[in-house]
Amino acid sequence: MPLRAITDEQILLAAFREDVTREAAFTRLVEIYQERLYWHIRRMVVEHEDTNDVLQHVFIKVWKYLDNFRAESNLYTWMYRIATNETMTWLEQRKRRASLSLDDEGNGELSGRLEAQQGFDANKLEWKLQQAIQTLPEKQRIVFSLRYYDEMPYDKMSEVLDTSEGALKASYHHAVKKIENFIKSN
Amino acid sequence: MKQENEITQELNEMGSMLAGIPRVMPYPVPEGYFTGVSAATREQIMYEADPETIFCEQTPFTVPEGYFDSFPGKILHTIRAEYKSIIPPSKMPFEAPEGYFEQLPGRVLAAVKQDMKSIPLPIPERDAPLKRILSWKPLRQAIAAMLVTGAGLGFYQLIVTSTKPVAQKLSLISKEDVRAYVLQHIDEFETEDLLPAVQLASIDKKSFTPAASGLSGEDIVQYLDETGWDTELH
Repeated sequence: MPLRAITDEQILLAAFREDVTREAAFTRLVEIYQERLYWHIRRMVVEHEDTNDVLQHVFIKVWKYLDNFRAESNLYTWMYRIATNETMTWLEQRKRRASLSLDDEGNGELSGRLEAQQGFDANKLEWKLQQAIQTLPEKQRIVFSLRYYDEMPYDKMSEVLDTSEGALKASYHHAVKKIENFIKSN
Repeated sequence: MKQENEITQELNEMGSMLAGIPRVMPYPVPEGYFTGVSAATREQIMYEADPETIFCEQTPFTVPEGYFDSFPGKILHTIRAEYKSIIPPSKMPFEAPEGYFEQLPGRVLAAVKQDMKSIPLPIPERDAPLKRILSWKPLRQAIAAMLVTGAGLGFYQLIVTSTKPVAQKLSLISKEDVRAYVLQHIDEFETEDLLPAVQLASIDKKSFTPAASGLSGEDIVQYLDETGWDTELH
């Protein structure tokens, strides 16, 4: 069976553990998850170049630690967890750099990055929605993004974010209300 | 699809307007980006594992076989050759006459003795004895000790005399001096401060009549006008 056709996590993991098929299995893994993880990261960091840097780090970590991956958890949630942690680390580093250079690195700075995006149009609803999302606190932004865009079930989100389902539901509902209020008032 | 319906249904149940907004990401992505992610990641992984491997693979130049093995020997040979030409030999090309250094101390001593005989003794300067005395270390130390003791005694005397009662000190000042000082600095004294010290009963009021003071009534009125008597009296 060609590796391109493999979608089953267990077969992919088995192929990764063999030296002969290791690189091919990894390539397939990247192909399967790259777009989902890319958008998960980009919704948080906004710019493509920064997203690319974080995504590279995520897959490098996957390569390093995939041998130690235990099948008790889902490979998909495991990779989302790495991506979320790497994104949070990157955001923290950016805040530290900004505080040292005395720049404004709050949500205001993020909305500035958003407005610098190609094709930005504040009158279009999809851009207004992005502006509203950038006003949310980081963790709430991740919760909203995983649920609204990635359509992730709450039990999977709970694995990724290590938070109870109830807390995640409450956070998502609050996020929806905040976004609505932003769109209505702008 | 099922999950998508679930998200939309959830938003509808919440009565949210987000249920009607298309869930598309408006951010642009460079064309062909996703086709290169896995290759770029693998390259990065290889580089992190062994940076030299990637470096050598990316270098288009070749190196003669065994070049690096013989390189240390070659560079050492070159350094030795250059060292010989640059650093002068330690042996000097000049030579001293035989037995020169053995005879030198005796010769110098003989020359000094000869000079002592021919050259008259220098006449001492006038202050030479004083300089010699002052340069004697014990004497300098004794002078320094005396100065310190003198300064200490002076300071002690100052402290002892300054602790005498103020009244006793003031009694030593003559009345004329006090009067002269008060008249000279009269503006510095406040009336309220002076009044308690004045024995009003002992004042001869007659001596303050205009006639007694030699002042006319007009002079007094003019003085009061100038100093604002109205405000003071009311």
